Amino acid sequence: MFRLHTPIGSFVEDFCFAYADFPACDESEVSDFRIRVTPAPRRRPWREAQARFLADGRSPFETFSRRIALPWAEWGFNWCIYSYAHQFLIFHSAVVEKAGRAAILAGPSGSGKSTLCAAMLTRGWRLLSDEFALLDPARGWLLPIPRPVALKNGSIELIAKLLPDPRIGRVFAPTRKGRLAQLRPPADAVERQAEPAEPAWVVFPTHADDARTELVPLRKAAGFLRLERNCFNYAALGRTAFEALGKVIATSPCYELPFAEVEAAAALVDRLAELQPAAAAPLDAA
Amino acid sequence: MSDGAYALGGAPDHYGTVWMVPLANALEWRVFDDEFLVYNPASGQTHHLNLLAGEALRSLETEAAHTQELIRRLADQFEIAEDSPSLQMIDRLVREFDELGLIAPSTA
Repeated sequence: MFRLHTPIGSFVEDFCFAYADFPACDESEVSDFRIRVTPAPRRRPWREAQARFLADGRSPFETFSRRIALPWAEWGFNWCIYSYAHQFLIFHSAVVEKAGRAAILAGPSGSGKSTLCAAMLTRGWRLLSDEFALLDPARGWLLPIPRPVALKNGSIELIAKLLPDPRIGRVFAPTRKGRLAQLRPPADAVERQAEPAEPAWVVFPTHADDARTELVPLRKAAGFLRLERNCFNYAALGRTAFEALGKVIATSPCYELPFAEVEAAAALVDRLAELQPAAAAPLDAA
Repeated sequence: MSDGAYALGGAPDHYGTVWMVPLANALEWRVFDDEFLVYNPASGQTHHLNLLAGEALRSLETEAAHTQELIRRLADQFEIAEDSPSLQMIDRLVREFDELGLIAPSTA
């Protein structure tokens, strides 16, 4: 839970669009992080108006243009989570769920996981997270953190065509990752953000314009090592991480997914759920 | 064994060394098909081993042995000759285990 303070009107507007369906907490509730997005002085007169991100008084990066404050705040939120949430094993991954079973779409920035994640939402999958898989090592569950999906460059228009309603905010450009827009999480994903899911598939998407789109089964040991490389806090959790990751891999088939067309890639992942339907009842995080 | 002695082509001087997995390592294992993943809490590293390497390390974890004894055990386990090509690399494998901190000379 974040407590956010900011006097920057354009940021408030962008933030309220992206987080429109989230409940606001009472002032008396305890928050995990106290965030401030505040105006910062220009170092040079000709530079754009600047802002700063502070989490409990600490700033993970330099000042940034106020005009693109939301993407920077999202990176700041990410920093808070992967720096402090060591009660979870954290993978660089999107996670989507259908009938209680989750597909971990793991990969580094630029692999196409956010685009694939957004395309999965158009096929009835629930968004657990776009940026992180949060694995509870004790229970083996994936915890939802359904924040906005960060669409970049060509994927913005691509996903806009697939979605039935306009849930994509304004385009921020330039950012350090090119053009960027936030896809507002579906209301259903927000309503069910206390409902975890069991890991069922591990998929490593890789987008390339000339790729042949196919699901390629991966040996489990190779899947383990690939997922370990996408883990933010494997070293910090040590033996606990090894055991938890081993359980995920033992029960989840692993695939590489090179793709050129995101809709074809999403159809292949969708097909996994059809071939291996769920029998489990929804998990109760409480 | 020193690298120098090995480079000169003499018999590896640790051939008589008895190797063991230190108790402090308390290795964690995962076996997927014929592949082994082993986590060494002492180093924080996870290692990926093939069938022969995995069984060699498990053997040393069960009971300390010098290299020739390890070769004999693996020959029995896999029902192959002690001088078979796949066992000729055991000495090098033992050195790699040592360099990775997975095993150490037994002090017993």
